[in-house]
Amino acid sequence: MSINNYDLGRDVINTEVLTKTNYEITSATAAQERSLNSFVMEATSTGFLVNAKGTTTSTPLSAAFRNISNYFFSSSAANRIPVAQNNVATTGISRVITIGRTTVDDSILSGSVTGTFSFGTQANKVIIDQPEQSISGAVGRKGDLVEKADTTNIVGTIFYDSGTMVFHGGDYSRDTNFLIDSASGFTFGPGATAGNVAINNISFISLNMLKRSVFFTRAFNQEFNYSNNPTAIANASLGSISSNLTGMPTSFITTIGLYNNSNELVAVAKTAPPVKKNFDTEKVFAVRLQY
Amino acid sequence: MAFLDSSTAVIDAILTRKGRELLARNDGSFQITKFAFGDDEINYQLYDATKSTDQDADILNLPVLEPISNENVALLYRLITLPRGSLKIANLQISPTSGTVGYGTNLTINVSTDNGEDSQGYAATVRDTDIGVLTNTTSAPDVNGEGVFTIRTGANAGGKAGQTIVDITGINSGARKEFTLTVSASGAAA
Repeated sequence: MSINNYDLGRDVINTEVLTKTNYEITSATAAQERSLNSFVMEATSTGFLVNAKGTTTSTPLSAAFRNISNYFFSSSAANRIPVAQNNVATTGISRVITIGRTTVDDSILSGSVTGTFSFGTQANKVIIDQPEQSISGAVGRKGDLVEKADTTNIVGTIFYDSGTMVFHGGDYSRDTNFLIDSASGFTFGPGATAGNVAINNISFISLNMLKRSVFFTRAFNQEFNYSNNPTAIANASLGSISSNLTGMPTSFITTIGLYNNSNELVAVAKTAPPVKKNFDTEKVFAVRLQY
Repeated sequence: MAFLDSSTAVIDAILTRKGRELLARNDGSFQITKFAFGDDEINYQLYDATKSTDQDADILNLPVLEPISNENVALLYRLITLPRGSLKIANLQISPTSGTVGYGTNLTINVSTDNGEDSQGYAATVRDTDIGVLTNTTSAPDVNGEGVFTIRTGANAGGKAGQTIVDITGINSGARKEFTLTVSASGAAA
């Protein structure tokens, strides 16, 4: 026998490994390096979307607005999205931060977002996220973007799985108005001027989820002491074992193959140096596979 | 008195190309249920019986390659379980032992096991699928313990003439045999 079955209840451990990465973006250069893009758009915009690299694309801003409206807010009126703080009134303007997949990995960690924004000549405002309690939308978990000093002041919505933040509201009386004219812009880095909205800094944590399986792979003393290796065979046509190995049969493990039920080799691991095996020894390998 | 050796070697595995394909299918075919050991880099001829000690020092010092993702070559020589005192290992018999066929002609290979049995049958792969393609990559043994593989060539494969190797493995015994397939260019489109 050259292929053994695992006892799946005894030999295999399956876990999920969660890796968290902290990011803090404080400049336009840092945003570019991490594929963060910010833009302001209107349903009636005539300009084109500028990507995270600063290059003007062929995507009309009005098309980007319709995409956000339909995909994230399921809005039947493609040129309007609900205003964040009341969800009754609608708006034809919003500001957006998108985080590239290479930075988001699998998701943004809910509750990890903090951003400091400048609104023209007003004092800076800190915005945080408040995740929804249960997932209700078709686009995964989302949360409110709120003013840290007054969490009833909802200024936008974050979609954690896609790494998209849409700013579509804000209390005028608290100087957190994200619905002002698109001509005023929405850029990374401090230094907002009158009528402008600037992202002084934004920090968040991304999540990367891996599945990890450990297979305890055992060679008991009576097992795997002979080899199909041609150098261990004296006569290939007869299949006779080399005389060196008949007295004390010994093998040397260099490779462990993991197979599915159809005997297909789906994963492989190597030992270094070779591991000696004979009738006097037993070997156990914890073969770890992450995917 | 010595300390008990409780160490268990932890080693990392990589997915083969087949593993990645099955994982992407997400249909349950990826589930790992079996294992095998191999000794591909080992040269047992380095065993030095003339030494009084450390006869296998040269073998244990052999460098081991990193894992290869091509499942066809990642584990060539399996270790096998046989009763102590065995003098022979399983040996595949293939018929014909090699083959030359015209472009577009099918070829059939019969395989059986000497010195053992392969009750789960046989598995086969072609190294260059532009030259030949197997109609079946596994074959269950018939009442005589014989498996059958059919290879298509020419336009029924990748449309290339030339020579390639078919690797045939006994699923239980781990015994391997290489079959050299030559497809003549005659009949191929210019």
